Amino acid sequence: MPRRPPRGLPLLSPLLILAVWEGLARARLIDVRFFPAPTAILAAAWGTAQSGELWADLGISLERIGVGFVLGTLPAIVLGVLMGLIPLVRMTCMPVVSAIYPIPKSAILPLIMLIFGIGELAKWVFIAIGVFFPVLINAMVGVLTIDRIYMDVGRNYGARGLNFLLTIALPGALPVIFAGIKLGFGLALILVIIAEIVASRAGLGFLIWNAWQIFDVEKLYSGLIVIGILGYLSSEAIDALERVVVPWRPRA
Amino acid sequence: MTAELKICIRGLRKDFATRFGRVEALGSVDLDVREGELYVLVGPSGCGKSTLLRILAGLEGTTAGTVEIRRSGGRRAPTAMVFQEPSALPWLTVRSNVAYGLRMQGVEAARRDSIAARYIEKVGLARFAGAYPYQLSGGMKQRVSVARAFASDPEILLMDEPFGSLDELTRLALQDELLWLFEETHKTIVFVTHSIDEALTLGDRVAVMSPAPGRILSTIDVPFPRPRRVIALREDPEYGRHVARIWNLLGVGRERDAAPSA
Ligand SMILES: Nc1ncnc2c1ncn2[C@@H]1O[C@H](COP(=O)(O)OP(=O)(O)OP(=O)(O)O)[C@@H](O)[C@H]1O
Ligand SMILES: [Mg+2]
Repeated sequence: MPRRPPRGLPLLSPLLILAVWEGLARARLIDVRFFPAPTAILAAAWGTAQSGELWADLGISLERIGVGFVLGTLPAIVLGVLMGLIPLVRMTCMPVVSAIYPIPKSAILPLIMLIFGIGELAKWVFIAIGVFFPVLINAMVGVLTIDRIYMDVGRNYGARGLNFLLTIALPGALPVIFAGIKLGFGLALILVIIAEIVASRAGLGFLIWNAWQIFDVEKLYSGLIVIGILGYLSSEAIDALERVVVPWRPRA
Repeated sequence: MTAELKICIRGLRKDFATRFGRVEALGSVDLDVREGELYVLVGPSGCGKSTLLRILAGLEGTTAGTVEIRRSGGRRAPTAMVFQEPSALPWLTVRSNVAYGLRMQGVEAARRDSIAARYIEKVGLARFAGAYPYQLSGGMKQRVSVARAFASDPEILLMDEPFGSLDELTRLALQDELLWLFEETHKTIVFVTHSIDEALTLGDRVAVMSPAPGRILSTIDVPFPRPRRVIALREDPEYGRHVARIWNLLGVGRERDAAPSA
């Protein structure tokens, strides 16, 4: 049997990089105006955390992601499952989806601000649209790839309409839907930062943009670190949610 | 013995349109199944047995002919199928899988749980009631499908080689369980199998089908009294005679007999 690698192993390479970085910065072998020492960044992050600035920006970004995410995901699941189940719905919606999906979402931000103004609503809609498409397409594909035998079981045992949707189509597609949700969440993170850089006086995007404008490089890095941690924690949270909602999948 | 007819099929034909052209799966099938009998279909692979069951289950249309199922009314489902492939729903526990048909019929939760528990017990899965299908062996999954079909209490049970993929030991055990269940409930069952032994062990009548496009060549009455026990049956001298008779109908050994001697 292969030996299990020790538990701390995944931490090793990042720690090594940080240590080398710190050494190089202290020895002035790299330009600290661009690459300040990790300890200096940590100190700056601690400062923004203490002043409450970091938490306020984090909270605002989280709220935007959360609202936009729910606003995009729920209709995407409903419509996607229906598109998977009903050929007529699929054939009606697919051309529109194929036409809009490839447009980079950042390109539609001006249009959204034109329609919805520069307030919170515009940001929610922007994020929702970004999340909508990957979840929609995965929900549809998820239903289309359900093994025919399970469809037959549903039909033979008398599942019709909403019953069929809730007991066969939705659970059958759920693992693929979750893959779409993960894609969508990554996109939501990107979009919230873009929206906050372009049109906001608050949020993590604003924090790093503002840090650049006043050339506060340590603060800029601490913003990036927080975004990195946020991305990591939220993907862990989605995995945990998946384990609860999809308990029937064998796991490694 | 003139029990009422439950299923009445006349001149049933079924073609499939495929990329390779038209495939004739069933060529004019006539058959009658009586209320409360265990009717077995045997025939070579590809002769249309699954197609016939799928038509009875309402999962497939017909090309020609009539298929009549005499319903007794009420909200019982007309059919419940044990599919040839593994078909326990992966997202439901054993308990919910077995209760699935009842849930779709709108039976209230407490009642369907107690019915499901009874059939889970009967197929020997009580310890696994809370498990998901991925945690079960192939034979256990198949037992879930059998329990689900019985629990949903349909007018007709359709069983498509339910034990075909199992090892001999599990197969014998499940045949025995099926005999218990059948002799207790006397449901109408249409049972498809490749195995002549299985057909004679379980059936009241055995219909032998031709190679594709399938037709019914002949229907044999199986005389063994019930209740039957799987092993004891094989010692009956009549048993061997019936095996030979079905073999002949299926044409086993015919090619060799007809071959020119060297
Ligand atoms: N959905 C389908 N589309 C096209 N052809 C089909 C379809 N289903 C079945 N057939 C064809 O119909 C014929 C009968 O198939 P069927 O599955 O009923 O055979 P079977 O008697 O159950 O065989 P086996 O004993 O191997 O399970 C085969 O030639 C098969 O290729
Ligand atoms: Mg078959």
